[in-house]
Amino acid sequence: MDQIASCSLQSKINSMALNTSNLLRLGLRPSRICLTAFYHKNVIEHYENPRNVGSLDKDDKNVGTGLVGAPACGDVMKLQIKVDENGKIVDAKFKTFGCGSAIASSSYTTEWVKGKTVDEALKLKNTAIAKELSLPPVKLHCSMLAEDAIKAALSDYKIKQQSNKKE
Amino acid sequence: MYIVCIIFFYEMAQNFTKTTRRLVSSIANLNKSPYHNFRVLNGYHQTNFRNPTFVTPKRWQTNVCWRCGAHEGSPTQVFCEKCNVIQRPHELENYFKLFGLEERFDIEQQVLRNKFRQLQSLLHPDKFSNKTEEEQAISADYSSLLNKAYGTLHVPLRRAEHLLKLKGETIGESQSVDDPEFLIEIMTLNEEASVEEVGKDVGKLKKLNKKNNEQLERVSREIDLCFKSNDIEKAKENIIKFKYYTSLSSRINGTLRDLGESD
Repeated sequence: MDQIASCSLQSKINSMALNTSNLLRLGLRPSRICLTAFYHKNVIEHYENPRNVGSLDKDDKNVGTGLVGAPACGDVMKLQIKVDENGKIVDAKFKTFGCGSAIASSSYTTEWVKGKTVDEALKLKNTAIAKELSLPPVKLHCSMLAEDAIKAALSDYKIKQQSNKKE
Repeated sequence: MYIVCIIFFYEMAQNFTKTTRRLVSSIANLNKSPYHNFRVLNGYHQTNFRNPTFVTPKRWQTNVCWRCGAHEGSPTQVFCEKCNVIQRPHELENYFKLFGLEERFDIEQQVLRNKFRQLQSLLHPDKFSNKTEEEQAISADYSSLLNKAYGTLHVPLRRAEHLLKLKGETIGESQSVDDPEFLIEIMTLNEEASVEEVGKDVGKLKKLNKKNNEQLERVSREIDLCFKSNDIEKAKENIIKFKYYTSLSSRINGTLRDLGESD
């Protein structure tokens, strides 16, 4: 019985703790209760173990490079894809100098994009990245940056292919 | 777990009673001091300066003493000339005006510091411990506004952004960098300074830091010139560059600190 009571109490507290306005209404400052989990576990996981960090040969005709920046935070992100003759993305690499959310967004994007075709990759929306990583509203621009980066990489690849055909 | 819950709940209940008591007392004081009430209800005293919904009686908006109703002399007056009571700040948005400084990027740090210290020595809450609650509240808010303003003006990047905001421009979140060459440069510089590249080579890091500091100086001169010639678009571009060099600088200094070198 005690166990059950404490469980329901705990869940009540949890649901209250999530709502900051509730805390303030109770006269509690957020600092009084430890609201430490600002980043979702998926962000932390990607941040601590980033996938596909590195570079591909940017002069290779099968490699598309996207380089984008977010001036609001001074972040810079490079995303590269390698496409085979069937239009399938076989490899993806990134390098990001910025906050945890930007790193996690680009890491997730490289993982997601691998094995997709170029046309499928174009459909990646920042909302999907934000949803996967549970990014808070103030960090949504990080996922937009990752979307911009993959778009830039794909368009770089397409431009390279077109100029290749002409030759 | 159960005990923890009880302790937590007890604390919460205590806080709740405290808040209710505060609410009741503040409602009772409503006619006497709406300013003070707002402060209590809100919890965070900084907010009442910025909250546009806060109803300000007419007499507060003009240069009239809130206590005795006497007209004040200069708008930078901190105390009423007649009754010598602390006045609310006349300027909330423009931090240059708050300190009585000219709106420019290349301010003298020494002058700013002196102004800040001089004002804090007059307005610090410690000086108001024997005064009325209302005066204490004004002093606390004024003092924290001064801290915020000083924190903004004495850091070059924040000062530049504040100046940009006063000119009606901001660097938005959805904005992107249109200068690909600059992005390549920043990417290369960041790669050069990354831990994988430099390892434990302190000398190399220091060299990169020196080079970066020169860039920071160059760009800040540019920003100053842009503001002086009122070229706001160009100023914004340079502030963005300044931001990138600043983050690079903090990255390099972070690595240096990790290697046991103080900056």
